[in-house]
Amino acid sequence: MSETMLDLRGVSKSFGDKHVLNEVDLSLPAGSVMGLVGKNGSGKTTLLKCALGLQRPQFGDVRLLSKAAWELSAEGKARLGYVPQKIDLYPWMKIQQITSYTAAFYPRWNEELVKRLLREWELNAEDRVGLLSVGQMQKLAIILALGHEPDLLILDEPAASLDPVARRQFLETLLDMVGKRTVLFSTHITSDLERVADRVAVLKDGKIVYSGELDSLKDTVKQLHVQAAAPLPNGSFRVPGMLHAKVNSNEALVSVQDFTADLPDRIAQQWSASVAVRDLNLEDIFLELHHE
Amino acid sequence: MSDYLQIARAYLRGTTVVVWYVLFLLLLVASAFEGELAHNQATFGDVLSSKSYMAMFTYFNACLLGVLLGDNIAHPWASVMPHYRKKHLVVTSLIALLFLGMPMLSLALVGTSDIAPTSVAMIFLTCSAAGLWTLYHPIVGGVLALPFLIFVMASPSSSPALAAFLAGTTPISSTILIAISLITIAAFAWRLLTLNEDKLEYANARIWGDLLCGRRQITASSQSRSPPVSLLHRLTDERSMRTPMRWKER
Repeated sequence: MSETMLDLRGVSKSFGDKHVLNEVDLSLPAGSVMGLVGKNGSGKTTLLKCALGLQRPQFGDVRLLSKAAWELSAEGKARLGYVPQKIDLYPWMKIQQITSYTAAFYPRWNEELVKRLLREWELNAEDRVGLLSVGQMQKLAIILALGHEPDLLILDEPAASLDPVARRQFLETLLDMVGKRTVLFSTHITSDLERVADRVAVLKDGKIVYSGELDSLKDTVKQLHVQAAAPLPNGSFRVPGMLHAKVNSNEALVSVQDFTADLPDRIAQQWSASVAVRDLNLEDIFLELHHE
Repeated sequence: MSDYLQIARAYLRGTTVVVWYVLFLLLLVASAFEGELAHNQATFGDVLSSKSYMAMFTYFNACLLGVLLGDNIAHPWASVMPHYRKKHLVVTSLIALLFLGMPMLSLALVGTSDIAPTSVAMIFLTCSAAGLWTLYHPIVGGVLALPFLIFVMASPSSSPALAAFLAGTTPISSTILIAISLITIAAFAWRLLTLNEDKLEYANARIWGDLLCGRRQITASSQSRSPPVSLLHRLTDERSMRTPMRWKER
């Protein structure tokens, strides 16, 4: 049985009166690449910080690499890589100096890997950190998090400031890790997530509304186009597992979760209508799950 | 060893070096001319004797060291890198001993100072404790700064008790002050070892650190914000209703 790299059980966190995380359960098996999606302010960064032991939840249990995240040992930390959303590095250091500085904390440091990534991502080791662009800074932060070849890599919106070329390179680097390392990353870019992640967790208003395989999510959330002979009731039109419906006379566009193969037939019988099913991409699913 | 030298770079540069250099020169001058200054009662020489310069040298350098240390610890790296906090504490302790304690002791031993070596250690520890706490927790720092102010402002010639105290004739008092200072320094280290984002000191340390280091902070999401989800909803709804999709008829 594979190791569970990260396990959150009933984690709740609030800042004053504001409840940011509400009984979050999340599990990350070894070797998986999980994307964490959610609206701005949904609690993604707080969740990652609680997972890493940077912030302490008021309730719940966080296990990181099978140990309490709050009391992670040095050995555990050596297996961990993290790229925060807010990157602050010594501006006066040269890139080569900051890689040496970071290496000073790890018992194992792959200098060859760091040099290769610096070369591929077009970062000059002699450049000063303070003069780097936002995207270059983000590349550097990712390289620093990869230098010790962590077993678990946690990235908070890692590709947000990268240009398309750098983003592709970053995704390729992530793809190289699939199976070898465990990755948890938050993102708004659902196309990136679809490209590299095999699992997805959707965070809405501080709760995980879905956590599991990406393909399963796509199989269970669908959009239905219902076309009836008679006008459909605007207020009382309901189908099982409905997320959101837009009714226009005898037509309705319905998004559902927990989709099953027999659902279209049941709807067709109930409303004397023809039902067409549309597959949704992750962005559409994300929007449907967040429909108010 | 090279690991610790790498970390020491984060402290031994810029403002800290300038402040150390200026204060060290002042201390050097004060120690060299202390005898002459002591005889001139009409000037500040009596008040601002070498014990004053020692106190200022330690206190202001400790303030900077405390800010830099707090700033380095109030960082995500402190919680995710192995031995990060311990290594930083070891490095700053060594810096304090090598660059503050040793020069003070050397000057006290070499010159004609009437300050006993134990009193030098006491000035070093009490002012270090006050300096470290001052910008980290101003209330605690304010209380601890009392001995510092006495060392700076009190005149040994007008206060025989202070002169005797500095000459090391009251070892019990010195020992108590040293013990209190060591406890407060240990408490400071403990606060840093357990510092996390939930504590008020974390934000405080970040503010002072940003001011001192002028460090650039980058928020990735602030550079590329996604459009509001409500707008996307509207767009996708309209798109879904208007354009033909890949529908699978059932």
